[in-house]
Amino acid sequence: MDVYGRSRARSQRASGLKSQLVFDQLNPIVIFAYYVIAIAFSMVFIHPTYLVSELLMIIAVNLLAKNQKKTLGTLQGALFMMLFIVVMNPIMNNHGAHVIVTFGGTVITAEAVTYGFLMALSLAILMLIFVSYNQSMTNHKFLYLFVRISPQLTLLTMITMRFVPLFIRRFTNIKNVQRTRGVQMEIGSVRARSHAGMRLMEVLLINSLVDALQTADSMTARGYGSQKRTSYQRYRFTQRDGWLLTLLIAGSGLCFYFAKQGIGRLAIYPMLGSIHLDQIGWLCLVLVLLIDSLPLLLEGWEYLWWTLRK
Amino acid sequence: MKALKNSWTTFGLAFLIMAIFMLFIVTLKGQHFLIFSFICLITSMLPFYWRFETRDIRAREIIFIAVLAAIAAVTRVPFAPLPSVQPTSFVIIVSALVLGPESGFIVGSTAAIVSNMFLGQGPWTPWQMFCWGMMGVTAGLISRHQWAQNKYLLCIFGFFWGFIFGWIMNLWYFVAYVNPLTIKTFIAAYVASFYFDLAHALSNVFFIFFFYQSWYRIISRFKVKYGLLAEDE
Amino acid sequence: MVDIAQIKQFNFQYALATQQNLKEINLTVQTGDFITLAGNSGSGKTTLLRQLKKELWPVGKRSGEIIFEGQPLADLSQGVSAQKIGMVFQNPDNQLVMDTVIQELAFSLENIGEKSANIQKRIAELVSFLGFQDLLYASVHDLSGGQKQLVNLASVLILQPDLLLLDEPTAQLDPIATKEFISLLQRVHDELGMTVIISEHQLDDILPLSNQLWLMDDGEITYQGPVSGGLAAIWAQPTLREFVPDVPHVFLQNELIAPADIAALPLTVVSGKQLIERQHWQLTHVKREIAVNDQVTILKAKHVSFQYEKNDPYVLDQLNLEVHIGDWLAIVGKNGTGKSTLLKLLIGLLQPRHGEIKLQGKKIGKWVQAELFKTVGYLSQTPSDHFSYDSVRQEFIERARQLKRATPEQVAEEMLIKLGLQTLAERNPQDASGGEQQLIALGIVLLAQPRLLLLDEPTKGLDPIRKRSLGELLTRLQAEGLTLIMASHDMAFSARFASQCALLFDGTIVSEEEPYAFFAHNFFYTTTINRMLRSQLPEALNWEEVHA
Repeated sequence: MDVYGRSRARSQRASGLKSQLVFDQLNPIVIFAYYVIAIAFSMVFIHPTYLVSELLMIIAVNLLAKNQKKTLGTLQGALFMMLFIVVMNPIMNNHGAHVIVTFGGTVITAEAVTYGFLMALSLAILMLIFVSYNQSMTNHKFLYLFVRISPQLTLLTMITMRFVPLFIRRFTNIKNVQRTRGVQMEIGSVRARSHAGMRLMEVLLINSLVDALQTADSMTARGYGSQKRTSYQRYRFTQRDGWLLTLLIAGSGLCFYFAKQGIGRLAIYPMLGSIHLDQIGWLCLVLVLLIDSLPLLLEGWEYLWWTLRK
Repeated sequence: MKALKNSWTTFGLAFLIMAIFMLFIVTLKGQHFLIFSFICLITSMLPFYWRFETRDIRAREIIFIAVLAAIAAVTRVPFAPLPSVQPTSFVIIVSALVLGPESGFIVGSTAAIVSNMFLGQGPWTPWQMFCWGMMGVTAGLISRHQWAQNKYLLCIFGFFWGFIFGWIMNLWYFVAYVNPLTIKTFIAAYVASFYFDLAHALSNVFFIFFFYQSWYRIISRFKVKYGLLAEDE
Repeated sequence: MVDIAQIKQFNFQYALATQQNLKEINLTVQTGDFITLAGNSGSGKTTLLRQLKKELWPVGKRSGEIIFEGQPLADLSQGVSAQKIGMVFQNPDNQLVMDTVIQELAFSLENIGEKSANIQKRIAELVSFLGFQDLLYASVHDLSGGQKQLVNLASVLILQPDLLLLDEPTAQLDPIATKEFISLLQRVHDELGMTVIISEHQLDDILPLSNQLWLMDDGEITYQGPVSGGLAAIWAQPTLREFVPDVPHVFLQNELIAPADIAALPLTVVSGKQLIERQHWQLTHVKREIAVNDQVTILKAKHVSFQYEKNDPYVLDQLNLEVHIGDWLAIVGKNGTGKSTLLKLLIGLLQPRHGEIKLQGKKIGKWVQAELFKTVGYLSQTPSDHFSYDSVRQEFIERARQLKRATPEQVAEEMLIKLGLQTLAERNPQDASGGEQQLIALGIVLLAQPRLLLLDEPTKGLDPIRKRSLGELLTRLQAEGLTLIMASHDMAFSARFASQCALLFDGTIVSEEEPYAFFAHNFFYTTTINRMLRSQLPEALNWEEVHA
């Protein structure tokens, strides 16, 4: 069993350093800002043209990161919630001028139906943004953001994170061994299995608490608690990161300013407005899409650079 | 006694922040709901984090909390094949009963964030951190009363939290995506999730009933072994 | 030379102990020393090492003085002590705090308040010295036990200590990882001039590097001085003789070295070989008796293949194996070749992808599980995985009750007596030592009165005395009719006790023979004694078989 070989493949992903995508190599602050802005866009611009093009864009971003499977899976998973929103909105809400149908005293309006569909779209985008987020924003990058603000909590989170796979492996061993002495959670009623599972957990709890005493000793022996800790910054903030962050903030600032003027927001209640976008509306949409497509743009630029050089 | 007062202060502060934001949200009349509810959520957790951050914490204590949080997170894995049986809440409640409200909060919220690091983060992450954190806080607060040793009362406590947990978890998308928010909306949402919430509540009762005593004893025994007695006094 | 540390008239008693755990210790450590601390389990080695590490002082009563670099250790600040005195512990997994190697290295430096740029520089420097840039970004969960222990050593070295303490660092490692660890330790000592104190059970590899040996017995230092003299001192105590490594054992046992020439006692295969040839000694060899097994087959595996995940490589590939009643089969092979996996397949915890395994002529899959686990016992590498009650007696009673034995209390009592565990009966199994835990786990397994017992690395972490008594216990069980299959990387133990040896390599059994034929045909993969004496006695495997 080539454990070492496996480790290379896996840890490349875990560390995020060796990722093929340019976007993944940016400073975590920039990556985080991108996702925050993308999420905000999906909630602020409630307009079919905006939402559909944002959805297409985020699908493209996920395809670029080779997330096909997860994208599909997430869309399937979100289907129930989306359906619920599409159904609930018209039932719950009978405001609106255009009545489609009335049954059993419930008035279904075109406004509420539209609103439901738009919201379901917005939710789909949100879920897909998180698919991409989970791929690009590795745990280490995420913790890097917080290590300055909250070093102690970050440390706790990292230790807990280190324990989880260790405990899962330990649990598998305990499960095997205890099965030979009649404790098992593979067969029986849900009750019996839960009971057995919890007994196994109890063994895991005790063994882990015993072993972790040594972990604490190892920390103390290496100077933990002797003085104020510093934190090692693995990710550098380059000039490129600076430029991109500035552009992201400025661009999205402008978009939010437009949004405040009511641009890119379909008037729904009390009466469905026109889907038509004016010039500023189109301009704002282009800006939103440019920002959303940041990973694609970076990759495209990289591709051009290498092909033109040849 | 001082510690008790402090944790009530923290709790009060968190509650105050929440109330202010709720008021804010109501006056906004449904505009940008999700964003504000997120902010509300996160700021209400800040007092607890601030308390943890500014405390001098020894290696053994941080390890003890990490082990409990990791156990709580890991329980989600082997029980995954059993529908709606999740002992995470049980582990958090027992830990908090032994360790008190502040560590209880940290165990709960850390378990949430770390388990999502392996299962995938999503918009639900902060809500889970909040729910499990608050479950820890409330369990920690009642632990100071004599009646908290009563298994049956704890079962009721676990039962209620099963529902409260589900209700808060429903919020994040109902609040944002269904308009308008009336009592009717909420009731509809809760009816829809009733089966899941009931399962959660019943599994809490089941685990507390059968395992509370042994787990409480084990965690207390190791609390002594780790030398963590001073924290309460 | 300069003294780096001194321990003067030191006594220590644990808070709850009834007698002193360290008695009248007087020791001197000189700069650049490489000291091996030997003694059986429970003699106080760990307690002594911890006294040199102020942050880890156990709670208790101490008197006397410890001086480190000219000042009392007690006056040293915690930060200075953490940097100047490094400590590596036994269990590779438990010492790791972070989930990637680079974070683990950085963790030490973050603790002492190094700036980020400096951390980077010091990691770069250390990694270049140790040569493990390939591991730098690896997740610790993907490392082997040996690699983990190297990381643990590195994350102590990165603090640039003057004194390095190691508490049985190789006890959990396989022989190859042990050698790698020790050769790295040698480089650290030779090239950096670091002072090293290491406590060990298995002295074979470590003594040739040491210039000092300390011997501990029941909380007292009974010897301190040069290594060869120390071995003579160990030899003088019949209860400790098992600790003398294989090579010197042959010479001391056959009185080939006069007490006056003790400094000439060879410690390595090469020096032993040279000495024998120079002196033209003729040694004789007496084989241990291994009865020819004409019993019927109890277990048969045919063309067994196994992989963990769909596209993973095959861990076992077309493996064939046959075990007869009353056999003691040792499956040897490097770590990670699939020995543990094979055992799990044999007891039905994993299902083969191809091929079949038959127990007493019936396919494993067809057995009723409860019956299967009564017929086959399984002893895990981690004995604590077997426990789930608060006392040893209760552990046994509950198991007997579960097996529906008529008088559980009595059955439990008998088992306690059989394994010599009466004194531990009321203790919590979690509080027992590693060797005792293993006996308790064995007791739980034996209560089912299995016909076949599977053991996964049973000698891991045991001191030589415990190892021998385990071997003798298992031999007794074998004589009572139990069939044993053991996965082990301990060649000397396999050669000494097993009746069949099989080498697992590349997913299959490459050779299976009785121990003498098995090891005599091997050139690299054989016991130390065999490597030293093969030109004269090609079948000699252990020191007790060699006579002058």
